[in-house]
Amino acid sequence: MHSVLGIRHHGPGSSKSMLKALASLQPDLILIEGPPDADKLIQDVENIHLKPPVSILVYDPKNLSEAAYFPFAVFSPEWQAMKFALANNIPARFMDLPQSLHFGINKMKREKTQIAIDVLLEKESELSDAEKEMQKDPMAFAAKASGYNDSERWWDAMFEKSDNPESIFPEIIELIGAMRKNLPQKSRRAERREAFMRNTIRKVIKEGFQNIAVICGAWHAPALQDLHHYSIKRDNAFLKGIKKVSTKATWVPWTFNRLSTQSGYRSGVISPAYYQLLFHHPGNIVLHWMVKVAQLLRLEELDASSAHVIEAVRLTHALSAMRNLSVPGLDEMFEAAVAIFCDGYSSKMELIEQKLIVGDVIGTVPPEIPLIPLQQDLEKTIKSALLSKEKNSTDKKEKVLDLRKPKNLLASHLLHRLNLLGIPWGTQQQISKRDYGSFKEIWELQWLPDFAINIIEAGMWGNTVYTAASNYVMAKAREVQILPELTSLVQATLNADLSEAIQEIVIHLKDLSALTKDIHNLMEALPALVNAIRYGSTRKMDLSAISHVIDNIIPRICIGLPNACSSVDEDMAQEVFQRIIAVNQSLNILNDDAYLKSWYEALFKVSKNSGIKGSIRGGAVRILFDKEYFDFNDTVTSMRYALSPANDSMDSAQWLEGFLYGSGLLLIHQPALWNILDEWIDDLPMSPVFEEILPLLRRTFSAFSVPERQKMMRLAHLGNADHLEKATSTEIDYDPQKAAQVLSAAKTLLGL
Amino acid sequence: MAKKQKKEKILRPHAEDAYAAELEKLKKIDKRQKPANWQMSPWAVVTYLMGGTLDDGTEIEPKYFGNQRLIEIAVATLVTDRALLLVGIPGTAKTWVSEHLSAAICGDSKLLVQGSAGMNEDALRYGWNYAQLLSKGPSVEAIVASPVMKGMQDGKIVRIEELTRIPSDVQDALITILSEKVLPVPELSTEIQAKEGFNLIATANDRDKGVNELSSALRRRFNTVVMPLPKTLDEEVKIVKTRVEKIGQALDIPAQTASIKEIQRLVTIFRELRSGVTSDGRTKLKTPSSTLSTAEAISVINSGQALAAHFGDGVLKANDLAAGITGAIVKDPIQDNMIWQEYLETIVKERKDWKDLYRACKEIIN
Repeated sequence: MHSVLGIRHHGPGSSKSMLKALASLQPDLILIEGPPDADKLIQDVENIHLKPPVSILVYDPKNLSEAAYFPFAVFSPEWQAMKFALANNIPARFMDLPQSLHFGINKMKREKTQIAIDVLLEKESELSDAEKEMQKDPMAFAAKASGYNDSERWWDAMFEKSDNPESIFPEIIELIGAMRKNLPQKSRRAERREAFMRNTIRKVIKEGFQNIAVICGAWHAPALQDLHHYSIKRDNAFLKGIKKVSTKATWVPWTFNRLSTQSGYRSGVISPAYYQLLFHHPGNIVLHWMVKVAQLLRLEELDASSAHVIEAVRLTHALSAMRNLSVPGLDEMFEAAVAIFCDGYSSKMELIEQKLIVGDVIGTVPPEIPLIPLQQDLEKTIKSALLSKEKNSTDKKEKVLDLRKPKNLLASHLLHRLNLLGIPWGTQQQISKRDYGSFKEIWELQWLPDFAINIIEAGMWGNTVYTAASNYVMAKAREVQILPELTSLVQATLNADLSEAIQEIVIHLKDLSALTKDIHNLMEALPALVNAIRYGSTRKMDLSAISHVIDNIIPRICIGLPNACSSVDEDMAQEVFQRIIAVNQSLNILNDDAYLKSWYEALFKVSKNSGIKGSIRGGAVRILFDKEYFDFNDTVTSMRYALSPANDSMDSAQWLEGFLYGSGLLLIHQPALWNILDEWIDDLPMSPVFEEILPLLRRTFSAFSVPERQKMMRLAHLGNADHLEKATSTEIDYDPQKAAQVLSAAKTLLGL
Repeated sequence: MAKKQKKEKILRPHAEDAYAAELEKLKKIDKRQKPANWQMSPWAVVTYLMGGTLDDGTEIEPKYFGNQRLIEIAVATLVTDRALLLVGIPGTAKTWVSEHLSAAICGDSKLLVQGSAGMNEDALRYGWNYAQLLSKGPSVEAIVASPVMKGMQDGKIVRIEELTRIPSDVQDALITILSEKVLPVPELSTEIQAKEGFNLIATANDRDKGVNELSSALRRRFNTVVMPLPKTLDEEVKIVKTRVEKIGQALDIPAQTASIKEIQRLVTIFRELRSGVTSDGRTKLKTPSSTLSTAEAISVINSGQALAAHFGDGVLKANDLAAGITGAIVKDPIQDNMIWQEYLETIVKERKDWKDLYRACKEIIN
């Protein structure tokens, strides 16, 4: 004999009814819709440190992209069934199609082999959206049909009030049976799962169990009730020829947030926080809910008094009575709360909606439940880096780390290491310019339950976060064949403080930089290395090896630069230009006279080489002028030469773009340069040349700041920069009387 | 006959008179539980406002077009003896709903206090008949009851219009009335205790900010329902059409009913200018200072119909509407005029079948 209890996944009402039914059945075996791969995990439910929401994770250790989650909240019937079984010493087993077979089917699909029966049967037909919805949550469908938006309230109204709790489940089977009749079972996957479940029931009957309770989603209930309606042959055929894949299973913590979206059962819960309240206080849910509203509003520093709560409860009851609902639902409570707490505007409710409806509960899995070693190490490190609070929250949190504090430094290393391992818990945020060169790091942290699988995946690299990250970067370093990729890996490795790995990577770096002939790659690699040296000192690491590499790279860049700049096309020229700027910055950071000298010489060659694109030459002249390698006359000569009428005007315009890159102040303060430019533009024939280069000029000038452009405008009005004096003198257009008013205060401030 | 003539003279009958037949039917059929001193059950009140067909086939005309849930919240509020505050921009049927609610609940929508800046406490409490007061001294007979006091004595719904226009210190007189349901009369050392069924429906305009914001003590005693503008074009067109027909009958305007096309055009213009974007969502528009509510659309169509009936051929056309539209939109002669002209030139002119409207409106502006 077996009794089928068709439940609603994650339905608190179902849980209550199911527990009542189990108590009166006193079964000798409980079968639960769930993966038999995880049968051994059922005993852990008794462990009081395993706090829901938690999920069973079943995965294929050889192919971690195959993984399935089976989440439970405290109000989930499956969870309650397991607890009941353990408390009453009743054996409990999962009975759904094992994941080992699901993964096997997927594998066969990938390998394009077909299961015998699938060839024979006609093709699966697509279900309509309404049909899908009905299958997914038949209770919600039935509830909607009877005018309830909230299927839990419908359950309450339909079944909880009934005098005869034993009759609930037969009624459900009848109801769903009627629904299934109208909707032929078309999904192959569902059919196969039901066949397996039936076979499991047949098997345990054969084993001699007399009174079996079968807990399954309501949709499957009719298909598991009358076994003789289904042919054993056909059921077996569905399962024949599937290659098994071996799987592993473990418990992972879950969150309400994830529970509210789709889950492994394909039946998401709408409001976990509400359901939890409903489970714990089924009697006076409205009161508890409204108290929660008030408390959450107070946390947001909004007024919410007990009188508000009383009124809201009364309004909810009045509202549901008027809508002919025997019990108020979520909609009624929400609307009443808006009218009473929020002056009719729902925006205040939006502030607390996430916490009120979804809830920010996160489950825990005790350390003694077999975790992979990497995860154990990770938990330990998180604790010692004082990040537990961030891990146990589902919200996005910003964390500022001061690297001078040992705990914060540890946290920074951990986050960098996790990022290397593909567990993106934290994303590093841009720090403001003010904080450059400080010891600050800003991270945005959000822990996702899915990281469980990433951690298992990362477990292949080692048993601690440190060794796993080290092994990972070393393996990656061996793969990389392009210098810039390797140097960014160097930087990441330094950030993650993997000192052993860095030694090996640097050896590799030396080899690769020696082999790299491409100057462009060398140029791209340099900034990362210079940064590494610059900040390496704060990380207390031996970086002499990197200095060696830099010493090696810079001369090669300087020698190769002129050649690397010539014969490049327009787009490439832009890239080269940016790289020159970056290298220039890096060299300035190093501030080594010998390097700078050869760098300027290289730039000088570039500026004189007419085979090089205008923008690069212009940029080189600008750097040389800024660094006073060129004096004013040299610059004037270069400019006049570059803008001579004999040159291609397009090239001249590009030269100008490179020359003026970043700032146009030069033109304002150097009348001679302005005049050259002025003459050049004057001499340009209007059509077609001027029209052609106009966009380019516009691009150059629009990059300047507004005051710069205004000054230039004024200069242009005067026509000739010899009148510069006048142009700047109009600038000082102040009212001496008004100035006098602040002058005394300014003097005091400056101590004059 | 004499009675009928008298009725015809009234420009606008009270809700309970205009819909007396419907109310009567509802009362007869209503078998549900009634709150004390209500003449019908909450369900019947909602049905009266939202319309529907009764079991005996009687059609109940919808009075409010829009979200039934809002009306349900409003009625439920009155059931819980909390006061109801209807908030919304002008022309969102706040007064209309409050009138019909009180007509349905207590059969009397006449207990009305019109809030204004010059109001004193007497309007909410009671005044004195000074002749009586002088000759006989303070006595119950010398009291001139306010609508609020009358409502308390009779257990009826009292309406307060434009609550936020009432000065704050006067507003505070409502606090005791609402929380303790008592109106003290210190001069006679007595008090008036409200009978069951007494309640308040107040309306307030949230467009005019900083008028006399309710104190939080008072606000706490009200449940607030925000009356929204109609959600969709179709909904708004339906409202305008129904109301125009009603008013047209009442005013005896002989014109034919306005064509749905004209109403649609007008409502489209109002909605677009109100929301600052064209209905296809492609073009951003400037919004004028005018509210452009549904109520204004109704009055524009009405005046257009009157124009067509008396000066035109009886059929509502673009040039009958032009003046009304312009008047409704241009409230600030400079800013709004500019916005309206821009709209005419960029949107109205480009629309295929709107040429007539464009020409008519241009004529008015020039």
